[in-house]
Amino acid sequence: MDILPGTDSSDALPRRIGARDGLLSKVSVMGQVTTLLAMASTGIVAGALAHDAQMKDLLAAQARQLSAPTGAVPPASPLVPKPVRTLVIGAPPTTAPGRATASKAVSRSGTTRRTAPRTTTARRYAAPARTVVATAPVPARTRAPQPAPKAAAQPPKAAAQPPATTSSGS
Amino acid sequence: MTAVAEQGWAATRRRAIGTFVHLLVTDSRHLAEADALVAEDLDALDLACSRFRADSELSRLAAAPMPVTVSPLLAGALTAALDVAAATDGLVDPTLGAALRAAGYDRTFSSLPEDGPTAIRLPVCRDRWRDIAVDGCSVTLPAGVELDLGATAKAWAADRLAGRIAALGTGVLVNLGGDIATAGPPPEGGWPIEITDRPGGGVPVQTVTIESGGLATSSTTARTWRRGGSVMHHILDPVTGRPAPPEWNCVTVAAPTCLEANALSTASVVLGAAAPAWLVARGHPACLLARSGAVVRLNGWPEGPL
Repeated sequence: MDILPGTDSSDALPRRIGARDGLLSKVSVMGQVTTLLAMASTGIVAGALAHDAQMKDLLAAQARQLSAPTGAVPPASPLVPKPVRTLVIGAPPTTAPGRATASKAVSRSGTTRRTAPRTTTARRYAAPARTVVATAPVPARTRAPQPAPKAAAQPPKAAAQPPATTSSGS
Repeated sequence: MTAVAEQGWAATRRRAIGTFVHLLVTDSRHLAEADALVAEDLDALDLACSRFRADSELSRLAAAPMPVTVSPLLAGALTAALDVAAATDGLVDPTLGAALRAAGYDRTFSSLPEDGPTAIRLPVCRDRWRDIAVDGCSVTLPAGVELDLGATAKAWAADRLAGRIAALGTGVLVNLGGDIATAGPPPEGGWPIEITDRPGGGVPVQTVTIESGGLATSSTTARTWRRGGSVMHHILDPVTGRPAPPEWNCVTVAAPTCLEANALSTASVVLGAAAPAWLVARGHPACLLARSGAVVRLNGWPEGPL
């Protein structure tokens, strides 16, 4: 098992930890492995491996990154273990309770856009309290086929949308 | 010109009161009667309120001894204009007839020459509209005041017509030169409206839909002419008596009535750079096209491609 990329496995676990680095004192081999992995998980490379020039560079880079201003995102360390994703087979999709789905309309350019929910249309005209303005949807001919008309007892459907009229300065 | 669709809606187009007229109904069975109402109403409106006809009530008003009794139609149009002046604190002023004439807009727009002598600058008398009294059909005008109801009469008439046609039992959209009023049940998906800064090939701004209320667009590029080489347009600043600085190519507002939408859009042109804040405070959806080409959308006006 490679602890570090490009490192020979025989060098991965030195028997002696460099006391001059001041990061680790003498510990058992197993302790070294545990400590190495623990410190790797926090982004800090074990001092026992600092004798490697490549690792020295990595140590320096890690130190700079950890002291960076708020908002800087250090690059992922090769030693940081990646989270394991658990795949649940057969779990039904869930949606947040109480979330209403907004109506969507396709604009003339073909991209899907959200439209304001339609206001309830009174069958008899009354002065509206508020006017809702929405982006125009795609004309009927580009929509999915509509369901068959309902029984005659149903109220008549609204007229199809006419072509746009123009509001221009005058 | 009439268009009838199998889906039920029907439409007619005509010219009247110096502009284009577009009528749409959701029930084609009512088209003929609705179209007759439009023709009759607009003929009466022109005879009552036109500044360009010597035989109109408005033209004879200034020379008449006060108070004078006018038709219910003129009294209604004048009352609507005064209501708008009050609501906009004078930004939309119905007493600018003389200033418009001095600026060169002294006949129907289609008859205006492309250029002429430099416009006369008249002394400005602000807020003369506050001295106008309307009591039923009895009107008292201050001496020397010339009325111009062009800013409000079309929108007021569109609202009136839409209400009368909806009473026939159909959904309706009435478009008088870009001032749009709707009434009754809308078609599936609402009434689609294309916004441009001037009719017949202007810069397209956006296409939107409304399901109720009114929508109006005011523009500094639709009605322009030259005087002494300077470009003039028809929306005057009541403070200076001159065309308002063309900060915006056009302003479009949607409101519960066409009259209100028109008042807000016209006042916004006069306000110039101050318009967005003023419109935000009033809460109605609005879209402003700047001279630079930038588009400002306010109060929930939908995003979308131009």
